Amino acid sequence: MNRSTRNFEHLILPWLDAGYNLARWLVQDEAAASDVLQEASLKAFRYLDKLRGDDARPWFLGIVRNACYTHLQQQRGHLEVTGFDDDALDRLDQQQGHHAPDPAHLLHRKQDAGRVNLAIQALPAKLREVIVLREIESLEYADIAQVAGIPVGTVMSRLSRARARLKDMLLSPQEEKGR
Amino acid sequence: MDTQDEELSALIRQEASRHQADDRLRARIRTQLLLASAAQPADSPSRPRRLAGYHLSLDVGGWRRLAAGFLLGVALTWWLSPHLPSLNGPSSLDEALVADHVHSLRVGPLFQVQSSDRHTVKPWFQGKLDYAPPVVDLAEAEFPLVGGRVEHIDQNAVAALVYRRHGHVINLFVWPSERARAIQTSQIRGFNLSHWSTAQMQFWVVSDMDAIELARFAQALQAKL
Repeated sequence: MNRSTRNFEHLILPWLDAGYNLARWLVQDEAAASDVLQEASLKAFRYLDKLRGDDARPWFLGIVRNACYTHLQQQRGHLEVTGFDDDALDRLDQQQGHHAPDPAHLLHRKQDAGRVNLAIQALPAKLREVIVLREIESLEYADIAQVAGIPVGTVMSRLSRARARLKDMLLSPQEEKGR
Repeated sequence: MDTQDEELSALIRQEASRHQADDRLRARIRTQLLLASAAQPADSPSRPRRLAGYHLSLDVGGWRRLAAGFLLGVALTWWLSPHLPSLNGPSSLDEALVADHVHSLRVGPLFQVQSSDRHTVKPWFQGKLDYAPPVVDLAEAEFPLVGGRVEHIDQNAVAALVYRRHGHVINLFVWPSERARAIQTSQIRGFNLSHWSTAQMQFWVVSDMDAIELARFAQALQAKL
């Protein structure tokens, strides 16, 4: 067996679950996530010789992520993927004083089953992806930067913005006073 | 990281879903990779343009061993999970398309317009369908176009394009789609089927050719669309 053959079995297949999880969170549909993962796997298989080093996880997740955005762009009405202006979002957050968006009303009661999922789903895709990669997949900042194709500084600012929104939605006001 | 960040992280770790790829999806991926690796024309001088940039690093033996490995994986999956919802289980649409394929060969007509010229076949559909099916000739890939007809599948008028490969007849059914889907393959009574969609059209291929040849046909077609 040559190196590339081993590579696919050993380097890519272990990350199918991580890839599916990211796809599922980004496209928010079971069948579409399966299609996206299938396309991304084929692409990874074909471009395997482009992988540098032995850490295939961020490389593969980057391919999955791109396939997700391609899918979302093909579906009309997904305005959130047409552009993402970090500065505009900053201004918006300042104007709104971090007021929670609409879904927050669903989330006030801590007992609500699935409220964490709902809160994450309510994030814009580019904040959602950094939260999923960091908090669910436990990727390092540098790896998230590679997956999302953005500088590490942007990863950190998006993470903090995403966390602020999630705290608004999920943590009770009493706890917030401790900030 | 302040205490609230830690609280949030703990909450997400406890409660957020971590979705997993199920066995059926894993089997689908392995099957697709098998087809992709086997469908690479190992000695063809005229590899389709789309593939030219792939710089495949495996030698021919490597591809064969990899294909064998995937076959084993697929076989194991099937053998170990007889209760899985059948991977290639026929849907009623699959059945209808196979029935139409058989009918077109046994009773006919196989084509209502007979031509290898796509500029003759494509305009023939004008006024017969409420969409314009893409028509391409794949003679370069040794799948010459021979004609087309309109069929009624599930009470919808659909375009059927006919291609040949040596003695085999390939029926390609085309109608509009709403979203892109990756290629899927299945088998019914010895006939091989594959289907996929772009954002505009869906493509269903039925033939008695083997699965590898059918994958090659699908690849040649996708490269031209």
